[in-house]
Amino acid sequence: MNYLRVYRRFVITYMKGKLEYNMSLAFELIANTILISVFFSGFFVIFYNFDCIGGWNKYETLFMMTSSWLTYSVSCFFFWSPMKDMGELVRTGKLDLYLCRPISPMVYLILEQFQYTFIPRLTLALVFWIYSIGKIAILWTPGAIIYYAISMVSAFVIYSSITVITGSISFWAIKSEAIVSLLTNNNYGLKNFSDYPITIYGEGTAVLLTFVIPYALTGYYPIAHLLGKTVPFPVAAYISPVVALIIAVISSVLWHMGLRRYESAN
Amino acid sequence: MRKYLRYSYISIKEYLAYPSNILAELASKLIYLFMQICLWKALFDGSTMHGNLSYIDTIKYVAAACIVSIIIECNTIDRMNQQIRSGDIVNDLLRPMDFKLMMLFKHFGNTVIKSLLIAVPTFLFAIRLISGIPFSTDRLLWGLISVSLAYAIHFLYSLVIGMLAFFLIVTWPLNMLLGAIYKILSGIWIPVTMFPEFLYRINMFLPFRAVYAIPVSLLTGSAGDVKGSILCQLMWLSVFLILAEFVWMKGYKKLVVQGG
Amino acid sequence: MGIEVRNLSKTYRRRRAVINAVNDISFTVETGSITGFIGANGAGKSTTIKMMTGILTPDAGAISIDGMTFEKNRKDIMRRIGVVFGQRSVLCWDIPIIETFRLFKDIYRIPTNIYKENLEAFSDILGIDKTIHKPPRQLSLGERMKADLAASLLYNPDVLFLDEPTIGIDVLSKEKIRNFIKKINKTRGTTIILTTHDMSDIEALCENMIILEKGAIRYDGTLCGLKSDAHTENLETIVKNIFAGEAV
Repeated sequence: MNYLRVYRRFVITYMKGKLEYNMSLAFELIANTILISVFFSGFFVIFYNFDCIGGWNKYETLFMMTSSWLTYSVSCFFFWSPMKDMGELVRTGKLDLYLCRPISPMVYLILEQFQYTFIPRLTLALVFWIYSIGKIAILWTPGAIIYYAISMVSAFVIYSSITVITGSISFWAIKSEAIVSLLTNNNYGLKNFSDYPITIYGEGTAVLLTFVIPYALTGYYPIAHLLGKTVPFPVAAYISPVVALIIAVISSVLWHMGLRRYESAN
Repeated sequence: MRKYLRYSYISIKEYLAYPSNILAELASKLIYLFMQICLWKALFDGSTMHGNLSYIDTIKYVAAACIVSIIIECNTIDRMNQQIRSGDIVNDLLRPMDFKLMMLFKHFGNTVIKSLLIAVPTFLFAIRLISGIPFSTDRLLWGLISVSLAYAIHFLYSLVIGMLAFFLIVTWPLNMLLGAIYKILSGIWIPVTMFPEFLYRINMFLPFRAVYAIPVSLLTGSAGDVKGSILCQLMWLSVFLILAEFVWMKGYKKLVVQGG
Repeated sequence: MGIEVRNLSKTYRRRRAVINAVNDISFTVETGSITGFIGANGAGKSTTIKMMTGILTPDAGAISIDGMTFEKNRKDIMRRIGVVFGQRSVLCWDIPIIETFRLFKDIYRIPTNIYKENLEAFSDILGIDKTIHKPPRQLSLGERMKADLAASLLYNPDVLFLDEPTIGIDVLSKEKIRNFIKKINKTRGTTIILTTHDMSDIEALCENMIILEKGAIRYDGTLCGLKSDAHTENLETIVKNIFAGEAV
């Protein structure tokens, strides 16, 4: 089965279906757009008063933030909703229905939804990405472009893997939502630390975000490398593909372990 | 009176039933506070003044805002939405009690327990982070009065939005929308003194700053016009009291006529 | 052929208690038959069905469906079985039913002509053509169940598992659903396995019956045979007695 063709067609019909029967879809998109706009407004208010943070100026920080937001939004299109629902699927046993199909449950979970509510985030991130890219001092040599592209792909893998890990926790913990939101919540979670240069948080946090929950690798280190900024752990500029691979493997293992547990204990 | 207090008591019990949620909430507040303080420290980059912004004042403001938010935060909107969706709202509406007062007491119970379990540790953490106390002793009394007024305003605001669900069924996009505007204009995140001129002016006509900007700046001692601020809050309080009563009457009629 | 279950066992560990949900049971389900599973809550009925549909892994024993096992040919088996849960829908909740059908068409690689044929046939018998463009949340339980049935039969599975299919459904829809199941069984030879608490379902549909109690098989044979053994036409009485612990 050509997954891409199926998915593309399904997404279109899914959206059409949603539009016909659910006018609140438009409302959801508007609400999300305003939410994200407000966030950017706050960002610009801060930089209205100050010129730079931790040695990064407004455009550099903006470019770093939007780079990671782009990959994050795309990752969320696929993984955010199914993993968020895992707690309920496991608790109510609805997951059973995903297990008796000739395709893997993960694939089925992804195929049957498309989290369009991230479109505003993606769009606005793109807008400000374009806005900031012209104003920063990066020399876009072929090497730099390749480096950046690889970093973006790694970032996508890292975000997706972390999301899958948080979903997999539902196989073991009963009320996992609280822990999950600590890691991934868009307002209060650890993820927001990576919107700004991690040097401002102190050494402990820098270590955490670089080597433990590698959010810093999704934007900070690659952009810092391209801009020639000093970073706490220079080696981190080169390890994102490797780390992405490792964390992808961990998430896959955890997911399958969780599934097996579900299938044997239910 | 006692039956209303019962609801506060139940609220407290419900909150205590999920210790892991309490821990997670505390952790998220501490993480948020840490992040904000680091942010402003880095922005000021060692200098005590930046333009006409004072580092100490900003730090104190941010810490105080975080602590005050724990007390003022209101989950009445979510609670009501849930109840309406599940139909449980009918039970509450059938009681021989004032629905709005009932909601208030439920919220109050929540506030009390949260102040104890979350606000206190956050306060201690804040002291450690900023190496000082985020509040100032002169005008402290006015600050406390202001916080009480803000508490009432925010509760009434949440009640009104919650009651809109009688008409709209699904209010979460509206919450999200207003919540976002609230977040920036109320001063809970960035001190309103930092706003560009045009935004600052617009904000003067809106109620949001009465919930955080006014009380927090009074508490930290950085506010100028005490009487004006309190009057402003009193005005918005009256507006929301009337609005709440109005929406309630309309909403209740609709509910009764349409059968929920 | 058909479904063979040999020495199947499953134990649950709940905190400190060990529950023998299913204890060394063996049975055979003939191809093309309609078999009903009955048991009190906790008798091991759902556990057995879940193991037969590959949702749960057994602790001991073997299941083979048409000679295939889950260990070796999981995806092939999945392609040839249909599962309908009475209490959970297979359909995507917010979008028109026809879209879930199309999704199944791709997942199960149903050839277009068969897909169209089945859609037409099901529309006729089940009357789903009226509801096919609506999302499940706008439908009544009966209409949703019919759509669930149609979805699970779109790819012509060899075996159809039904777990409490008529629970909470009105009498008219129940009859339509039962007739549909009978027709499918007759015209396509689909093996039907049905679990239910509703005796009238059993009476209307099943030739064979398996009664489970406390993880063991209490009866495995034909419906007629059960009645003649117990010397009564009243199925409910028989089953009540079994649940109360008396021998068949």
